[in-house]
Amino acid sequence: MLPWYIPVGAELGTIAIAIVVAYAGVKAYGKERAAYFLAGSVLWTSIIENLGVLDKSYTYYTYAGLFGPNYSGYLFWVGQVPLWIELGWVVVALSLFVLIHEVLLPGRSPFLQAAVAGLFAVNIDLLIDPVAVANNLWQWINPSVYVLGVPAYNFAGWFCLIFFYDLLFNYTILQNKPVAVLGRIEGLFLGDRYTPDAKTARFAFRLIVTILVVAVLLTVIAAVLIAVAKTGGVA
Amino acid sequence: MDPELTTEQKNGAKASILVIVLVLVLFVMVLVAGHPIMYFGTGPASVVYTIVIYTPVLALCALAYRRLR
Repeated sequence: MLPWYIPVGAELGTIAIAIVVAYAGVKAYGKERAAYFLAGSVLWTSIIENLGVLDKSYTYYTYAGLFGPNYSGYLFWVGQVPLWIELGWVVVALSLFVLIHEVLLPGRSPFLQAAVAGLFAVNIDLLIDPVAVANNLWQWINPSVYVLGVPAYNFAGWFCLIFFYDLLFNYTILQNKPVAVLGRIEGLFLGDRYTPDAKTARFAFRLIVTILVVAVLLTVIAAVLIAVAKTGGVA
Repeated sequence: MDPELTTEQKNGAKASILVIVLVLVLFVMVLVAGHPIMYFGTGPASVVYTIVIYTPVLALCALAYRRLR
């Protein structure tokens, strides 16, 4: 068994860093928009992560029983996923969003900004995930094509999550713009609530649509890689 | 850098740089305290990998910090 301070340090450390990123978000975008980013991203990643656990892709109960038979391994959970996992994602997403949108690539194409954020998120995860897996912070279960002890679809997942959430937040909260493709569907579902000021309803609706799109996309990518692993004997 | 960036926004951006650096530090601490990266075993390959992987993201932070000064 690894030392107790590894899961405790990862959980409390990430929560502490999340407080700093919340401060960064408030300074960069004001309280309201930062709250949208934080709430939306916790909801978004909670759903995607819980789907991954229910799909038996990975488990977070690797430190269960560490401080007694009833201890589940971490202090705070959202469903089957520790809260610090969601917060870790928020930390990477929001800090990259601020730096890329406000400092490094302001005024550039939203797709370019989102893609660069996605690539740097994968860059950061290339250390986070192999270290976390080596230290049992979580455990991958599915057979797949593995890169550095981590299924390749995990990195595709990081890119997709950051890329799509970046676009979602940028178009819906920062610019508060209608999107041509979604406009009619949004009007259909939201009815009278579909007004130019209906930011929350629009954000919630687009969040659900994007989660569905990303979930389907990642399921397909994961399924292909699992099939490749099974036929090619790569475990 | 956007010329209209306010002092508050600059502080937010600086805090974002700090956040990324803290994430990197946290995981290096986990790495040092626990097992080295399994894929690379216990040798110096883990250190080399860490340096190679950290370089682009640290370069991003350095560039952002330079623009904010």
